[in-house]
Amino acid sequence: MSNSKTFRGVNYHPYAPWLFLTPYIIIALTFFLYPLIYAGWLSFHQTDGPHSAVFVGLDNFKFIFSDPSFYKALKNTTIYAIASICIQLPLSLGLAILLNNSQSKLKNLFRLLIFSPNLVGQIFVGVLFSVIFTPRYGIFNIGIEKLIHWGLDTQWLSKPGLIMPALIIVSLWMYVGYNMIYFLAALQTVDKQLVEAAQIDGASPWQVFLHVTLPQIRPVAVFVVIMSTIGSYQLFELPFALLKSSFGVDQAGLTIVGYLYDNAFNSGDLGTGAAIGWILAFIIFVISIIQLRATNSPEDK
Amino acid sequence: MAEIILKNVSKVYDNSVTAVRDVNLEIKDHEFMVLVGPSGCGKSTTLRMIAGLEDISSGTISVADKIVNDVQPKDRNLAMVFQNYALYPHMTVYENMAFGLKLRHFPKNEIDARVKEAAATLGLEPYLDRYPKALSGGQRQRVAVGRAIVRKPAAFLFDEPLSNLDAKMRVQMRTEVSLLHKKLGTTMIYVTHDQVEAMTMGSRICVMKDGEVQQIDTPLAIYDSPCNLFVAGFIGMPPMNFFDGTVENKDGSFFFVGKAFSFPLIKPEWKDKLAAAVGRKVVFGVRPEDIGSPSAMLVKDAPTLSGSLKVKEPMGAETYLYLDDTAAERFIAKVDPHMVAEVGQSMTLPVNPAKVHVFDAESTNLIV
Amino acid sequence: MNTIHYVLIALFGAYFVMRFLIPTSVFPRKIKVSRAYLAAIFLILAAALVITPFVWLVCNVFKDQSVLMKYSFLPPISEWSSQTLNFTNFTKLFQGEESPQGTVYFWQYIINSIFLACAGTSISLFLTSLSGYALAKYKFKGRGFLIFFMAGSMMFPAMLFLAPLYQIIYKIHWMDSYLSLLIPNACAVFGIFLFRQAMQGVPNSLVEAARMDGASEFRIYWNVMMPLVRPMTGAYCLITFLGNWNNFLSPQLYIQTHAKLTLPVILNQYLGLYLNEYGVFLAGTLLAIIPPAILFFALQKEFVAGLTTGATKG
Repeated sequence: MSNSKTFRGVNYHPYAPWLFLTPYIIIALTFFLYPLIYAGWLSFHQTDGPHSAVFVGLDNFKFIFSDPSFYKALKNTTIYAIASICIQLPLSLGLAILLNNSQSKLKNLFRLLIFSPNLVGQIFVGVLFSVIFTPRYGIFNIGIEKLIHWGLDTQWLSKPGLIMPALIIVSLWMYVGYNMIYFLAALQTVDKQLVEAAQIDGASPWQVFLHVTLPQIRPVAVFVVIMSTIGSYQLFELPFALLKSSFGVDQAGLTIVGYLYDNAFNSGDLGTGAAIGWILAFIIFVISIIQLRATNSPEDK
Repeated sequence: MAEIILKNVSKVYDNSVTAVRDVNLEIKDHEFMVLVGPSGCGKSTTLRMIAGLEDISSGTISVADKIVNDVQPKDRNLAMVFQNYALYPHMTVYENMAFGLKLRHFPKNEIDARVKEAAATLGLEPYLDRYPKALSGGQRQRVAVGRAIVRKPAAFLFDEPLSNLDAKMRVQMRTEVSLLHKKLGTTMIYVTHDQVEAMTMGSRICVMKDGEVQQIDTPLAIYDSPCNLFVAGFIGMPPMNFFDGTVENKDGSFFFVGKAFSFPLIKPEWKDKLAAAVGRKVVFGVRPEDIGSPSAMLVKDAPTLSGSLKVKEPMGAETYLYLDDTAAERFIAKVDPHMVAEVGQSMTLPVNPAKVHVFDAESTNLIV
Repeated sequence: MNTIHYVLIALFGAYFVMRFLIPTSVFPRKIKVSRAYLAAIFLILAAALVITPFVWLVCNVFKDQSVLMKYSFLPPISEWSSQTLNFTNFTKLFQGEESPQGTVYFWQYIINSIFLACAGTSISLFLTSLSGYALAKYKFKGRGFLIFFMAGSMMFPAMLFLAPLYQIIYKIHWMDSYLSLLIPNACAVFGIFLFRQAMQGVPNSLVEAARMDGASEFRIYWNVMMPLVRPMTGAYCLITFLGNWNNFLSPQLYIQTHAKLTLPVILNQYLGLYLNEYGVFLAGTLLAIIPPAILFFALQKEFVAGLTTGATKG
């Protein structure tokens, strides 16, 4: 009837919605569609800054795939993405469950506190943690030393083998609360009656979680996994700031976007930059599809 | 003040569903026209076309002799009251009522005067500073009406305005809207699915079904001579009883012959029409209040209907008896509450023979 | 053994006492209570770990260079004095620095950042909500295609556009202009969808009532729709403000004039500049965290709601 949320009528300003959408259309054409096509064109050209472009065919791609730095970046980024999903997400989920079960009035405060690092941009976090990881002085080293009598002099940011762990630790600090918010929202939609029914049927807390809760938060979990992967593969600012605008000793902190930035803006070859952009988009696309397929539940098929 | 005339109005949606078909409706100045019908009959769509909220697929609508097909809703000088009140939640009662006037650039003191006047009419003065969520359903409905009347429009359109209220409030608001109509004298078009509202409020009723107008007439005329089976069944509560059968001519007098009984059709003016219907399949209709009711009891030598009593529903002022005749056709009688009747008992009840109807079974139209 | 060890042992010791040592007859609900206790410990530990860097940051910003290395957090109260705790880091931060365009003071970057974040948020709020309104409450040819196009555009990672956008910004002479920071992201599809979803929840009859009341289509958007989606507006403002505030790559790439730089860019530069005077750029970092934190605590309810609508409903 008249309060239905679907359309029935026709408005008397056929131009009104188009007028309202004009800004979007202009911006989308200039800053989305055109650059998208342009990125395709650019990836077949060699450039020197924004001034000149020479057609080079597939040379950009050939160069990238023969460049050891690219594989290094790919490896680093993949390690980071896997760590995000395998360490960070379970922790987020665990915290969300603890918070969801908690009856405390401080629940909201905990949620806010654990989420708060997310307000701080990656650059600021990088700046902050570049000091926190300082040997002898940084609070991280001091804390580790106090706890396990090791690590006061550890040079997290200048030992190639420790750069990725340091990055993973920082991103854990930053994003554990962010993903927790999603899990928490999902847990709040879980049907309490189902949980109670399972408990009455004699299921242990672990069984309840595995067979009742987890299936119900599955859509959100899939969403979070995919969004984390996409975010992880676009990692750039955090290592950039943490490693003082370099990519670390032995390129141990080089990510794909870092590699893109280095080629496009330090070396001025926008063409290679665009090509790396396409490769990155392709990687993200393929991984998202694989994840979607893998997490498809039987009832969807 | 305005006449609203719909000529051959149809509404066809993109997916070629016809919501309204060829509606002709003439709403006179000062009239209270009720559009009534079951949900999905096109009554709301018709109203929304008058309001300008829906396109008109074909035909014309004119308000005050001006064709308004291409006039924007705001320029039609009509005001509408919506089913869910459609009050702006972020505005106070005062602001809700003043919004339309503000948009039309009325001077401030004029707005104030009109809002205060409407608030006085509707008893809303104490609530002017409240927000809609702090009001009861009935009060919200009054604000919605108030928002309409401050505009002093050519006509009011009501889209099932009372259906979200509880039963008691609905009865109260019904009389209030009727009184308002008397007071303002403005043309009103009122859409409802509730036939009681239609009967009690309308100066005329337009019964619709499946996008088509069935009958337009005064409430009593529709009640007394419904033009077809649908109208007969739709108007009246409990609904009219129907029996399948044929019309037969026995020695110059006509009878309805059903599965369980035959019934004399006595009115002299029916003769010609009945003669034409002899042998055809018909539906015999009789309203519950014409079976066994005090008025039916007074009729001399009244024909009767018999059945065994299955269910008895005392309503206080009257009692509904649900009876099955020998062919297991269920019918309802509205009788005096003090009539002695036991469930399971066989009863024979007098029927007022002047008040029965015969419909053609095939076309469903009224024969007599 | 040190204090941290003692505290941890005491906390978990209490759990074992509750869970295993007290007989059920004395403490019938021991399993449930001990489980809740354990959960609380973990939550408190997690919150404490998350908060520590912030606390540490605040402490170190006010410590004098002379005692910077001496204490992890603050010196003991007995040693508090203007010698150990003071504002030197801030004075140094604000003393100004030479650039090719003359002396630039730190407050200039704060103003730039605030201006950009506010302007970016306002523009984006207006444009996305307007587009969201058009998609939520109008039926028109091409709507389905537009929605499909928007959803499709979300599949491309932002980094793909880094190189071509740089070229385009250069070509349209937006280099070193704030337009390059404000306009390309002004109509985020994510925001359009957020507003579309919120506005679909507003009954059509309100729009129609406004139309009957004589409101123009824009007025319906402005006077009826926007007030009704205020929670979503709050959430979107915060998300956009944070995005603009923390935006590093665009100003890093497009802005050359020193006096036009923003906080993320300049703090990243300070990292190399004040090599051993941590206090100075930590002071800058602290200042850079404060505005979003204020906004967040003011709008946190709306923020969480806005953040999760898409995920839990979609």
